[in-house]
Amino acid sequence: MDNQRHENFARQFVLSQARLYGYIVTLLPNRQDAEDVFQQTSLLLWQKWDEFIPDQPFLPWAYGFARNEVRNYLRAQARQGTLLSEGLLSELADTRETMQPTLDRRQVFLNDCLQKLAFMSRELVERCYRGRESMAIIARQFRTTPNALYLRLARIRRSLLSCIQQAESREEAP
Amino acid sequence: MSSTPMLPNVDGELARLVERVCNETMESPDWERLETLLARDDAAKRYYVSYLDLHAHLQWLNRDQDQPLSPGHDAQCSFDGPTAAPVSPLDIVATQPHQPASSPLSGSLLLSYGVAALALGIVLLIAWSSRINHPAAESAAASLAKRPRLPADPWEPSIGRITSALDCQFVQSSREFGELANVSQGQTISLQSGLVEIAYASGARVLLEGPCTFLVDSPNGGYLSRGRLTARIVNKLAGERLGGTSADCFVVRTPTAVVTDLGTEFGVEVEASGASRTQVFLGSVAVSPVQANESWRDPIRLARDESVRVAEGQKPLRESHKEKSLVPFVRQLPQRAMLPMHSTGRGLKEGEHDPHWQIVARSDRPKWSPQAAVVSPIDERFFLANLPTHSQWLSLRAEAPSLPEDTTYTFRTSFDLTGFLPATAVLRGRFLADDHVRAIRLNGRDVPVPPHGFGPFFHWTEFEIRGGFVAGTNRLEIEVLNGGYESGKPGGQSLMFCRVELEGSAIVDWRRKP
Repeated sequence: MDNQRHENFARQFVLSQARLYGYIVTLLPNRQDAEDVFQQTSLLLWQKWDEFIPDQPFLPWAYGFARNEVRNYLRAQARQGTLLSEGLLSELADTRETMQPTLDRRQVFLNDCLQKLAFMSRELVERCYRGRESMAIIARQFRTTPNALYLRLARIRRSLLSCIQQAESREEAP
Repeated sequence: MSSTPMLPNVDGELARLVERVCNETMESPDWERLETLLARDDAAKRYYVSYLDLHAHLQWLNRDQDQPLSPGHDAQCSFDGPTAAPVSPLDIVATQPHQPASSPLSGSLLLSYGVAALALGIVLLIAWSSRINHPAAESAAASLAKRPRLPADPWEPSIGRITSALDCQFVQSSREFGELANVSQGQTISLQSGLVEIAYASGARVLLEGPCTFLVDSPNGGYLSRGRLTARIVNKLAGERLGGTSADCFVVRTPTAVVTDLGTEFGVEVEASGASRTQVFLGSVAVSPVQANESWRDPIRLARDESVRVAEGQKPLRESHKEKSLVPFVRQLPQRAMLPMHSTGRGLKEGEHDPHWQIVARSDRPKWSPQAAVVSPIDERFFLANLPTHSQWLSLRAEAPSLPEDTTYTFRTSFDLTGFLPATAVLRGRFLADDHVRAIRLNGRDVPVPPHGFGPFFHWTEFEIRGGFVAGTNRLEIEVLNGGYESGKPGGQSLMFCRVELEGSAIVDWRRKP
């Protein structure tokens, strides 16, 4: 019985990881901070797994831990001065939870939109988001400047967002 | 009719700030301004959340492609199962020390490993305790090697995706797979040549090297009937990205062996005879020979830098990586790299000959001998200023190169694709000309010239070339027409210049030289 509960928990955990990570990045956009808190939250969830009630939705339960971990992290790092206020972070967290079904649908659209990117753009996204090389190094290899690279990335993100929006419009159409 | 809330339109300032958040280039005043913009507007909050979610998803999709292997993996996928004491998932949870949020280990690889190991441990042990911990597990697994599993229901959802298909030629009778194609259980990939990478939903990545034939016969493995592959268990938890779960070890079956990953990166080769060779690069694997002779069936555990060859009717033979006769596996997809190309006059002084650009033909001189083009000073009132760090104007001579009108001058540059795959090359360029670019040719073949009129002296015209590249030396020619519009009289003379900026990239040639 315990095994079954645990298996259920493990499955829910694995299926929710990307969303949990996205939730944390929304509140803590610095990549290294987000990675730290994501790892910490994951560890905590595994320690608390037996408190999870299988009939209840997993994500709100997990988000509660993530929200606390973000708060603890910010306090421990004394980073409030350079980020958004706790009050606003809390509002953003609420907004995100309300938008979860929409965000889930958009991720499906995003995967389609990524396939439509020109291969150089896709390559740029992969290399910049992989996080292994500095922007300066990537910029040098693309024979451009880091600022130009940031602009190009911004254009790609905006085009992805626009593509998602079009897909949503098509879905909305009668 | 769904009730999807559309993405709100936002003002430019919010969009710029959100971009800076994603680029991690925010400063204190930016945060204050963002706080103000977000606090007063729900639509702004929704935009921020949407954009950061997109940003996070892009990070997630790319974040662990090259993460180190999980050290916790080894214990869970052991095929020594029957002799090892099973460990309860609860025991594993209990043995993990809690790290407080302020722990110095926060964010360290150690903690990442711990979490990965913990998660993997629990998921895999459930499967392990119910499936692998049976005395007949090895022999049953081994018996599967002889015949691949039957294809599953064709409507079964994909168990992975082709993440790269490089320089591929598929066997004529085989289905062709492009990048990002879904892979379903039961599909066979038959490569004549090239590389195909499959990302399994379970988190494994398999790099097939043509010629080879690989049947994807399970969500956690496949049957290699000929050729070579390398498998890398990137991070099983990452499998969730593709909608999978991570409850199994990754297994490669061959006609003579079953290779089970124990947290690792390894290569498998099946020779024409059916004999297989397994080589471990990182971690370890268990190789279960499929042999008629019972005494040769014992699983062989291979550690890093060890390999074994299993041939039917022969005792498995351990080999050393150091042996020169072993042909190296392709372990990583080759990367795209910049091509060595030359923009006109780059790095030169005015008056100097450009060693990379020649004028190789003139329409009014059939017996013209090619000569180096010269970096020419120009009148900046009429021409875009020379920029030695990027490009400069070239002509036949430095000072006031008045040349016959209604004449074409062919500028040529060469670049070498040795060490690159020509089929993957892309060249992007832009030009200025006095007066008009009449033709662009790559290796003697015309490529489309974008419309640009006469006298594009300030505004660049961009062009792109995909295809037509050859191995070794490639020649790019720009044919400039010195128009009959400037002097205003037949047979007159006027300035003639050409300026070109080029960049290109191609994938590095990964193929072994004979």
